[in-house]
Amino acid sequence: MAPRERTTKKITITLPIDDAEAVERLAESGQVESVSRYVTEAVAFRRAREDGLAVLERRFGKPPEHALEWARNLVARRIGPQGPGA
Amino acid sequence: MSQAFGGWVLDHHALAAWARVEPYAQSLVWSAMEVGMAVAVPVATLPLAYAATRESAHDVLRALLDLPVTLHDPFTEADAPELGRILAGVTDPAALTSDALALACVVHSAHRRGWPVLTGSAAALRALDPDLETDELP
Repeated sequence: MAPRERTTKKITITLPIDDAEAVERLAESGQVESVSRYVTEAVAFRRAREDGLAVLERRFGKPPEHALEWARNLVARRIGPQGPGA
Repeated sequence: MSQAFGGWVLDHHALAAWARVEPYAQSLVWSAMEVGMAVAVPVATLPLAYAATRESAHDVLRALLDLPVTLHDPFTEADAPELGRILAGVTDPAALTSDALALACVVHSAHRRGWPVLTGSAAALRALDPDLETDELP
């Protein structure tokens, strides 16, 4: 039987203590599957965002500043002063 | 991609504006993506968006559908009762236009997600729900 190909890699990362403890609490309470799962999803989320922006820029170019300012104001109004994590 | 940070539901006017590469529609999607917000496309709006745009713009529309921030809201039998309620709740039936079913799907998506609608024509949506949150394209 052929050995199964590995799809994950174990690495060591360093987080601010507050963040590390917050993620550990989420994992301990069962709100997330594991710390690794949480970090995996955060990385996937950021990669999807950056890949999406790269696709848009390559295909259509960056929108004009006046239109971006309008859109960023809408976004700011929706997410509030605390940012998207609020 | 996560939808934790919310986003906008796009109606067929907004989709057509995107397909025509109009800067405000493009900018909203760009800016939403910058902060990790999403856009939802009720699939029932797509035929109208395709009908309102030239064949050469259809690839642009498909590019939006393929973005990682784009969520597809299906139109299924299970949605029919709620869509019926939305259509029956209109205070002025004369205000219903030929795109009423697609707009009802947009209103339904917005209610379900708790998101505002990005539109090119808020008046038609307000006929279905006067309290609907909308952001109108300039």
